[in-house]
Amino acid sequence: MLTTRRTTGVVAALVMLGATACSSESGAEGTKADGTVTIKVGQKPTPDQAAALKTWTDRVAEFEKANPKIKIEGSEYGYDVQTFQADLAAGTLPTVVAIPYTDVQGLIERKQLADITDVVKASPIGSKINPEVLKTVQDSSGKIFGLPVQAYTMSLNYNRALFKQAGLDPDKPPTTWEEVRTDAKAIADKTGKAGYSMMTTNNTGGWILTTMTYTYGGKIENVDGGKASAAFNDAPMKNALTALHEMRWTDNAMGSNFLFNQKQLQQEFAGGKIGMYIGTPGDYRDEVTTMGAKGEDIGVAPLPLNSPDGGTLTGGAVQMFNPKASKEQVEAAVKWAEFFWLEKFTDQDHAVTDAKAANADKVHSVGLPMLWLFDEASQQQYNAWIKPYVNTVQANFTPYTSKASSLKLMIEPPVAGQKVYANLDTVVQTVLTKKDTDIGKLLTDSSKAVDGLLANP
Amino acid sequence: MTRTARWIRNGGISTLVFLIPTLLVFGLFSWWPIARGLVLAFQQTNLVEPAQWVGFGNFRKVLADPLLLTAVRNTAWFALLALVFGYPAPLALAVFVRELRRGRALFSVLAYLPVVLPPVVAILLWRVFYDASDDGLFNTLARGIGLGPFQWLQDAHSAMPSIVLEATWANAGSTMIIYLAALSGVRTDLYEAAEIDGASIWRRVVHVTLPQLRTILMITLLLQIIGTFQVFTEPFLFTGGGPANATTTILMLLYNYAFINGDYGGATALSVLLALFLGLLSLLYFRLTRRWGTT
Repeated sequence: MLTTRRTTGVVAALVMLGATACSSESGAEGTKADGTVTIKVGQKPTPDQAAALKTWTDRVAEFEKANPKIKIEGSEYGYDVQTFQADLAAGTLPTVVAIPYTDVQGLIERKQLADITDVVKASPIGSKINPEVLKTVQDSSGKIFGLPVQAYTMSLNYNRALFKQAGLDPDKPPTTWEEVRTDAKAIADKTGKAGYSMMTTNNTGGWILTTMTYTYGGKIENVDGGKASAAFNDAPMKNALTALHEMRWTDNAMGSNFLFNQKQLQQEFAGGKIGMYIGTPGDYRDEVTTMGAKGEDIGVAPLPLNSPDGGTLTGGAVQMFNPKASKEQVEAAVKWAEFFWLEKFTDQDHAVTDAKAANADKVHSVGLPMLWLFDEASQQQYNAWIKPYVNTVQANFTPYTSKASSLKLMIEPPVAGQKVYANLDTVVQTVLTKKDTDIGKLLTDSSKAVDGLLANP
Repeated sequence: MTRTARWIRNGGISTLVFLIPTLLVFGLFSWWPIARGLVLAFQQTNLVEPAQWVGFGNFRKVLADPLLLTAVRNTAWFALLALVFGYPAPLALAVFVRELRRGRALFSVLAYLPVVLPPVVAILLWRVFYDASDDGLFNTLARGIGLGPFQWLQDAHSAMPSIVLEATWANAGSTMIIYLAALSGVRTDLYEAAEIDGASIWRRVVHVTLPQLRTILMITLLLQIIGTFQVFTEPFLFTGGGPANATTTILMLLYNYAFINGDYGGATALSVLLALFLGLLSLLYFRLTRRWGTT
């Protein structure tokens, strides 16, 4: 009986779903006869973030007042790699929503992002974006497929408490890989924790190995005309892997677990089991607000550099625009994204209201180190505006912030980046779990495999 | 009376009415997606522009993937290990519980408990147990009996057996319940006769229990084989397919095709291949075992 009732309920729900689908179909283009454009905006704050929700609602009202022909519909949708494609196919994706920076190039290659080149270039705010940062959302011909709304570089995140326990100076984090090794060994020997640890699964191993290789002055891909090939089978990556191998097998300074994705590693770090790892400055937020780490224990330093050519991998948050949206909707959505995400870097009122709300909700970390979206001066100005609402220990970021402006910025491997990362995951995992690994052969094999997939991406 | 009238009189309409919801639900949620998947396997699509027909292109691409062989080998290894260690476990448990004079309910509950635990929670727990440091839980236990420390998930050789161990623990309970139910249907006079003839427990199991459970054992064997060929949650959450692809299974590869690379054509082509293989295997299995099943 129960089953029958449930089945009937499901059928009724389906009929209703069908009906809604039909009714929303009529307004699919989102433009009414009087020229009013309706856009659906993702990441509307959830009701538990009361202050942020209020700010969001006020902003929408303000925006709609200034742009009477644009109507905003809020959606709490946030990017999820497992549902993104289904939402895209079904047309239920918002017009504009944030996507992780690491997925941008793959989405560009598959033509799953709207081209916003003209809109951004014509806009007074968008055109000011730092060209280095803009590169992260461009294809090889320079077309723009997303709006960067936050930028950072990879960083060496470390546990200041473990540094102290190991007799190290937490204000002087290592600046070369030799120092990383010495400090990692000291931490492992004196505290029994992992001195250095590393993400290795779900393509993060490739991501971090790429970051390390850049710091040794290396490259991942050669792109010549339309052709890409593997460029990592040389000294920089070999040195990076050798450093890992020594920390793991000679010094026994990397703990005993080597299969981590980003969240798993963050949890270990937040639990005080890891001395240092390469991550992003933004990792701080999860670690402190949801994983139980103490803010005063987390230090953020620039990446160790082992070559004058050593570069630092950049990252950021990107707003994407639905490729199924109409031209008018995309224009309206870019306008909204610039208003909501970027204006705070030039408008004191916006900066202050945002920071105040973030501070009030306790689920945000205000004052995390960032790379400037426009230029250093505007970033400093912004930092000064939000200063009263900062809830992070600024002094712990000094090693990073004092060096940030002098870093050589690098972007991710431009062709089939995630597939290359998947391949490099295996390399890193092998080095960390197999003592007698022949690094040279491992790299030659991996380079051959990557050449194969780049020839036919 | 015409045929239609007879059909109506015999309750044809109410049969149809009762059938419609089932047909609709199965159609929408099972058959339609299967049909769509089949079509997608021959297409290339970015889900934005109209799909392109590519013939057998997706199949060729998937079959040329160097990781496919690794994934097939790993999956077969998992299936084999699960067969050798995981398949007899619930049967042994069921016979054990059945032979108990007291506390049968308690042991049934204890054996079934892991099934109640959500797989994600169970796997997260076991990840902690499998901590490869000297003071990890399992390593501490192993040290107690003079073994280890083991690398568990952190070594290419021991990762898959570790996953099978957890999967057996997690799944044995539900199969055990099926066996227990089937055992209660075994004629007790057979046991009594065997006992009078002086048969040991082992001989009673071999000569009475197993032959009586033959049909159900064959079904669970097939279900287990199909299930193990679709293993995903355990390697995904335990190791992410590592170390160095030692636990990358066919379904993990499929997941990567779909969700990491956004290649739905490749993913569906691979799943069609897997479905074909499992279909053929089931057919072959029924052919081979038809005679044994009938009593």
